[in-house]
This record gives sequence, C-alpha cells and structure tokens, in this order.
Amino acid sequence: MILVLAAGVGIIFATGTFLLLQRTLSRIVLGLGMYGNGVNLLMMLTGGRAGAPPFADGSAKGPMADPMPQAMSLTTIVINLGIIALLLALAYRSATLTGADEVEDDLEDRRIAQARREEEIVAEIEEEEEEPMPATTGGEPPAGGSTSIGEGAQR
Amino acid sequence: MVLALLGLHGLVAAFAGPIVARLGRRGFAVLAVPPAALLAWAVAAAPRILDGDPIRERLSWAPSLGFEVTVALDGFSLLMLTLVSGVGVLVLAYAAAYLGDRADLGRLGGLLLAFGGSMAGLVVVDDLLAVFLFWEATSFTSYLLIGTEDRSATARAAALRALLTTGAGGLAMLGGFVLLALEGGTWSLSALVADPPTGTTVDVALVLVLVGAFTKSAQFPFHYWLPGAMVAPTPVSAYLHSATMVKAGVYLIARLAPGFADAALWRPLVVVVGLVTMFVGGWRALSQNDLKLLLAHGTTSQLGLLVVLFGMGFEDATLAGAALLLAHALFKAALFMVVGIVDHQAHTRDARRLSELHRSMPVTTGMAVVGAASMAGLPPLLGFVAKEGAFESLLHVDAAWGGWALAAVAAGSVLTVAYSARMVWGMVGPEVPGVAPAKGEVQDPREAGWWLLGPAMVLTVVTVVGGIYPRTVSALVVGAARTLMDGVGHGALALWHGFGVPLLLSAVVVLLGWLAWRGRHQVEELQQRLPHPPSGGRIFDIGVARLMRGADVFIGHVQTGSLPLYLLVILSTVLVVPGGALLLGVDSLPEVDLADDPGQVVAVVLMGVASVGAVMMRQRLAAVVCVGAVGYGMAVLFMYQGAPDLALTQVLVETLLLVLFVLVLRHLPGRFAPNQTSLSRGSRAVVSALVGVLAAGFVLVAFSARPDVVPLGDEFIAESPEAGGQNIVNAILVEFRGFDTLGETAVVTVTALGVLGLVRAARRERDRSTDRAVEPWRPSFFLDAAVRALFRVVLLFSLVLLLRGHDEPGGGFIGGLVAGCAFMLLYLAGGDRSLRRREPLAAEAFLGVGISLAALAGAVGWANGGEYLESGALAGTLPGLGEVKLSSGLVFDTGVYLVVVGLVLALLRSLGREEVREA
Repeated sequence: MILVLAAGVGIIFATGTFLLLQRTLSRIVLGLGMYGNGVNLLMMLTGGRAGAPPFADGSAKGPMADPMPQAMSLTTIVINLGIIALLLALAYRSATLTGADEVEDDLEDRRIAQARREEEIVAEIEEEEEEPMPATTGGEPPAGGSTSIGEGAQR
Repeated sequence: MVLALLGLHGLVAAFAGPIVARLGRRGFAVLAVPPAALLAWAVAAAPRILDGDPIRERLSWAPSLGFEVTVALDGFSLLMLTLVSGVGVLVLAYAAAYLGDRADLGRLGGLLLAFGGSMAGLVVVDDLLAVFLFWEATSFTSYLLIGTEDRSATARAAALRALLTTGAGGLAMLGGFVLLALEGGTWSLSALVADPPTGTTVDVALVLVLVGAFTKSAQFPFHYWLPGAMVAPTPVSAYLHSATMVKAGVYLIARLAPGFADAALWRPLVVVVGLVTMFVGGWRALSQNDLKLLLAHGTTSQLGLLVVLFGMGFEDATLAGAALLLAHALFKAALFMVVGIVDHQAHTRDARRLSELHRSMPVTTGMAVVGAASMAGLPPLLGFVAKEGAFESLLHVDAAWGGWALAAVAAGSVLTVAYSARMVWGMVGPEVPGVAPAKGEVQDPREAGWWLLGPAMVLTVVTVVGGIYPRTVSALVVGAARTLMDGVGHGALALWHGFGVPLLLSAVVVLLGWLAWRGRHQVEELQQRLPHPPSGGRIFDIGVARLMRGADVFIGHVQTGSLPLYLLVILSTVLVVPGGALLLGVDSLPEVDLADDPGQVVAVVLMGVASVGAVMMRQRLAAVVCVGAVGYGMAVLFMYQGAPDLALTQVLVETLLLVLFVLVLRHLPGRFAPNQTSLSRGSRAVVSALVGVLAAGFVLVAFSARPDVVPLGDEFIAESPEAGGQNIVNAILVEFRGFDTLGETAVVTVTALGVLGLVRAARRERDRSTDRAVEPWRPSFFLDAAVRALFRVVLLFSLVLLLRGHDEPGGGFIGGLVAGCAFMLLYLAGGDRSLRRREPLAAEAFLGVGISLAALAGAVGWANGGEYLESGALAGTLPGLGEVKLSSGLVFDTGVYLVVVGLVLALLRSLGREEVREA
C-alpha cells in the first residue's frame, strides 16, 4: 500500500467535506468535485501497485496495472462532469433569480417543525368526548352516528 | 382454470371504466361475466370436489424461495366461492339498478369486481403468502369502496379507519404466518393444519394470526370500523358485509381451527372474543333507528357467533358454522338490499319515519320479513336450521365452559330476535311522532322495479327453500364441513330435529326476544342510563391523533431545514458506524511503502496545498483554480499509476470545468458571503478532519487486509485480444461492461438536457430589474483567426482519437471531450455568435443521435445471435467500395462521442450565452 496516496485520499476527503458543509452552492459544488477526485484515487488504489499501462500489444515491461478500476474511474470522471454541470446550472439559476447562490433553509421543513396541528387534533377529540352521546345511536361518532350516515349515503 | 378466471376478474376490472362509459349501466352485464363464469365452473366441478377430490393448480412464483401460488379448491373453498361469486353476480345486477347513472359508475363497478376477485382468490389459495396477498387486496379495494363518497369527510374517515384497522391486523397476521411457516417448515396452509407444529412460538404466531382475523371480521374490540363503513353505497355494504370481506377472518379461523384449536390460547381467545362480540353487537343493534346501521351491528353480532362455532374446532359446531355461514350470507345480503330499496324509494331509512310499508311496498316488506325471520332463527327458514345446529353442538361440548357458552349464545340470540323484530316493526309500524323528516323524503313510496327487487328475491327464495328442504343445500354445507374436519357425519341438515333441548331453547329464545322487543322503550332507557365505556373507535382515533402528534414533534426536532446540518448528521453516521467498525476490526497495521515513485510525493504535496487553498480562499475564482489544480494533480497521479486514458480524460474534463465555472461565476459576487450556518468553523473542521482520517484509514486497512486478492482486471486482460482490441480499458468500456457505459451515456444525456432546461427556465423567470451586468464580449481578432485555423485540426484529431481507441489511448469519451474542447476554443475566441455559426447541429440533436446510436449498436449483438451489446461486426458489400466491415464497438463508441460533444455544446450554449442587455 502506498502511504502517500492514502494520505492524498485523506486530505482530499477532509477538504471536500469542509467545502460541503457550507451554504454557498458554488462551494458545495467544489466540495463534490473534490469528493469525485478522492473517490477516483481510492478506486485506483483498489487496483494495487502502479504498473505498465494496460495494453495488450506486448509492449508492457513488468506487471500491468489493473484495467478494471481504470475503466470505472473513467466512468466516474464523466459522470462527475455531468453532476457538476447540473449543479452549476442550479447555481446559475439561483444567481439569476436572487443574485446569490446561498442554499436557504427549507421553508417547508421549518413549517413542519412549528406545526401546531397536533394540539388542534387532540383538542378536537377532547371536545367531542365532553359532548353527550346521542341517545339513539349508541354508535361511534364521527362515523357511526345515524345522522352522519344518512348524509353520507347516496344513491 | 381457477387462476385464469381470477385473472379475468382483474382484466375486466381494469377496463371497467371504458366498458361502463360506453355501455352505461348495461356494462355491468359485462362486469358480471367473470364471477358468473367462476360460479358456473365451480358448480360444474362441484361433484368432483364434494367427493373429496380438491382441484389443484400451481403457479410458480419464486421457486428458489419455495414461494408459489397454489390453488386447492376443496369443499369449504367451494362453499365460500359459491357465496362470493353468486352474491357477487346478484350485487352487480342490484348495483346497476340501484346506482343509476352516477358519474363514477365505472369506477365503482370495477372496484366491486376487483374486490370480488380478491376475495375469490383468498378462499381458493393454499399458500400462506398468497393468502396474505389476496387478504391485503381485499383490504385495499374495500378501502376504496367504503370511501366511494370521497367528498364526504365522514366517508373518508370511515374508510381510513377500516383500512388502518384491517391493515394493522394484516401485518400482525403476516408476522404470524411467517412464524408458523418457519416452525412448520412449509408455507402450505393445508400441510400446516394436517401436521400442526406446537410450542410457544406457535402460540404467539396463532395469537398474531387471530388478531388479523379479528380485525377483518370486526370482532371486539376491533368491531368499530364496520358500522362506520356503512357510509358506502348500499350495494357495497350488501357485498362487503354479508358474504365476503367480513367472512375472510371467519374463513381463516375455520381453516386453522382443525389443526390448532387445542393450542394453549386458541380456544379461550376465540370463544371469549366471539361471544363478547355477539353480545355487544346485538346490544348496540337494539337501539338503532337507522335500519342499515341496525344491520351493521347485527352483522358483527352474527360474526361473533360464527367465530365461536368455527373456532372451537368441534365437528358438530363446524357443521353448524358452515350452515350459519351460508344462511347469514343469504339473509344479510337480502336484508341490506331490502334496506337499500326502501332508501331508494322512500329516500329515508330511519325506522321512525317509515310506516306501514307493507301497504305501499308489499314485495319489499315481504322479503324483509322473511330475511329478518331467518336472522331471528324462526322455522322453517335456513337461519332456523343453522341456529338449531348451533344449540345442538354447544349442548355436546364436553367441557366445563360448554354450559356458559351455550347460555351466552342463547342470550345473544335473544338480542338477535329482538333487533330482527325491531327492524320489521320499523318498516310496518306507525310513524314515531316528533322526528323531523329526512331531506327529500318521499311521503308515499312506491314499490321498486323488478331489477331492483330481483336479486334480493333470489336470495330470499334460497333462504326459504333451503329451510324447508335442507337437502337442497345439505351437500354443499356438509361437504364444506367435512373438508375441514373428517369426523363430520354424512347426516344431512334437518329442519326437524324432533322434540328436544334445542327446540325448547329456540322457543325460549324467541319468547324472550319478543318480550325484549315489547319492552324496547325500557331497554332504550336502560341503555341510556348505563355508563358508556370509551368505544374502540374512540380509542383508535385518539391513538392516531397521538401518533400524528408524536411524528410532528419528532420531525420538528430532526428536520430543521438546514442543509449543512443534514449533511453533518449523515457524515457523523458515516464516522460512527463504519468508522467504529474499522477501529474495532483492525488487528495489525499493514505494511506500507511511502511511494512507487518520488514524483507521486511531489504531486500529492502540491495537491494538498491546493486543497487547503480551496478551503481558505474567500475569492470565488481563486477557490475554483485551487480545485482545478487538485484535478490536474490527479492526472499526474493517473500517469504514474499506469493509466494514460484516465490522465487524458482528467485533463480534458478539468479544463472544461474551469471554463464552466468561469462562465457561471460571471453572474455571482466575486467573494463568498460570510458563512451563515449554525455550525461553527471549529466543529466543521473537526468533522472534516475526522472524515479525512477515516477515508485514509479505510484505504490503508481495507486494501491491505487481503494481500492475496487477485486484481479484478486479470480476466479482462486475458480475454481482451479475443474481443478484438488492445486497449483493455476501452475494451472493458465498450464490451465487457457495455451496459454500464450505455447507462452512463444516458445519464450524461439527461444531465445535458437538464442544464438546458434549468437555464432556459431561469432566463424566463428572471426579473429584469435584478439583472446583473456582465462585461460585454470583445472578441480578439488574432485569437479568433488562430482558433478558426485550429478548429478543424482539433476536430480531426478527436476523430483520430475515437477511431484508434480500440488499440491505443483514446476512445469515445476522450475523443468527444477533445471535440468539445474544439468548440470551447471557438467559443472563447469568438463568443456565442461564433459558436453558433460553426455548430453543425443543435446540442439536443447530438445527444439524441448519440444515445440512439449507442443503443442501436447494442442490438448488433442480437443480430449475430448473441447477447445485447455483445461485440460483433456487420459485414456487407457496398457498390463501388467492395466489402465493408463495421465493428459494433466502434459504432457504440461513436454514440458515446456524440453524446459527450452534445453535453459540452449544451453547457456552452446555455451557461455561456451572451446576455441581451437593455441600455
């Protein structure tokens, strides 16, 4: 195992992570780019030690490098290009619409966090419980009462 | 044949909408074909089945796991199937007359059919998992049926209640099934019953299965959903709550009881729950004025009795249960239909408003009287035969609790007589003063038409004939019971058992029931005075509300909406779980070398500096350049590793990315805004450092742990020359892992289209007032001239790279990127306009042609009689050119090439477009 390459993987992942944990979209994109590089390096290391380029033309001296991780890394590089391009387009969109590329907090999530819905539901049920039971049904409101049934049924 | 007919149910149900839309309510005749065919087939096969030779069919599902859909149509299945399909046909006919021309008629008809099919499937399959599947299918379709009036909040709530209750029960049942199958070593229901496993696990499993059965058959304390389900249109209620849905639980209990009735908890549970349900249902029914609701409570009561009879697992009781099953399906379906007819004609079904219907609607009232009499167990009807059998069998229970059970059933039967009388009196008795008339009530209702009356009449006739001549139904009922328990005698059902205790009991029950009805006002007063314990439905509602509240609170804490925080959680998980495993799993540190080559050290050090720089820079452009430097460093490392293709690709991609970043950064502020996350710089640094250490440690440990591992690519190296190429990486991409590359090409295509769309949409939405000024483009004359000269050369070079990729560094990706760089040069020198002049086709065309070419190239493999994407060559003779050979690998690579060019063009055209500025 090559120590210096392992160290490289570590540095790239550390700095990539730091860039990811930001609100600026272009920094996040840079962080993802770093991650892509780190993953490629990692994948290359799975092929073992360095070797001659994998060409089957008999020119190789000594052992060949493993071609499998290379093929997969090639895929990774191009896919990474696509991802970054898409995110850049998002940053562009954000910039044209708001003038900046900050990732704001998700408003829907905030709203859920502040929801008071549950209190309302419980209060409703407790209110219902205080009402006297309709004498004639003995059924289960809200679905079992005869009046509501009468309304619900259609022909 | 059975499976095919079940499939026909699904098929016709799927097309019910168009069928009914075209034929109107006559379309229901088409919908009735599948159940009618199933019924006819069952009747034709009946002699063979009743001789004890069940019909078996098998459909392999997941044979490696031992799962298959096995049909075992025996006597008991035949009884159920006859009811499900027979009542199904009648209900469809009734529904066509009852529902008239509703807009959603097709949907309703289709759902009824789908439900019937699921139910029919449930009663014929023998495989536990198939039972579960059909079980869930009935839950789901019944949810949609109960919620037919989906604009009414009441209907939606009732449907949801039914779904959640039966669904939760279904889950418990699935757990029970799995435990049973594991203990018994088979998924076959009949095999399990024939050779029942025992033990504590089995007891637990049985309780779980019983919970499922109880929820489905509306047993106490899960009985609350059934009355609520009465919001459905009456044909739905007549089907779901007489012959089918609610009988599913009874069916399952009946199936299992012969094998498991002696298990520790089984008999106490079914007998107590069944009896309590019988009593509670009857008690509730006594105070209903809504006739449909009265029937609903009566149904839970009868289901309780059925659960007791089948659940005890005694021969006589099983026979009585089978008789009651048939009798109940007949009279309850008929009674629901009758109530529907009254509702349809009088526009009310409130017993207090209806009066003297026997004068205006004699046929309907007559059928109500017969049905109610059968329900009350009066001779000479089928209900009486069944009730006598029940008393008789309970008399012979050889246990201390037998007497109590008999007394409880008798008490429940008293209530049954009382509410049956209440129902009839509600229709023929005088109007109760002081009750406001219902909306649209008809004062003087008229008798319904024959289509509406017909189905109920058929059921009524069977009830009468079956009672007077029990021999007519005896074969079916006895056959069903004999399938369940061998010991059931051949003795036919009889109307007349002679003078004995059962007859005496019947007489006493009827007398007491009549008295209870006479004293109905006192009973109602008593019911009012008794305390009302919280009902199951109330507890259910509160439970659901509490659950929602808990979920809200939980989500409020977990989901704060901050992206960095989410990422932090994910990364911390990565650190703790795999990181912890790594720490615990390491025995010794691996052997390491510093480097293969000193150049690697230099490259990594430089990359490290650039990485730190990327983090520290506050200038956007500087940060981008730093990340670019890391990328170029990667290319150097690839070279050292022995990967020239990768190095080439990396350099090209990095260059493209730099240009792209610059294009986007034009629109953004020059410096990063100060960070606004809630995470401090320190905590981010700590997490980042830890992630880095984890990654490096993972690499060291994981790849050193198996020094003997064979490189993945060795096989490819060995085979590559045979595949026709010397560049092994390229051979892997286009041949060995061609599907992977095809997928990747598709991803690139979609991404490019996504970028085009996003940018276009952003331009459309942009508010002109916030438009930022971008430096206008001033093309340099010399640069432009030089690039024009270079453009063709670079393009040509890219083609060379594409063509030689088979044997030397190059290939579709690299060639495409080089060509893309040619267009990029054109853009950089001459701007958007220059690009547009030279661009032969739009980016979309490149993408489309490229991906199609790649996909078509794969088909060459088929043409040569091999697999998709298997490499091959198309050889042919062209006039003037002689023999031409086209390698499919090259065609594939050309597709990739075009897609990559398309991607670059799309990026340049969208992100690089010159802004049209005003003033």
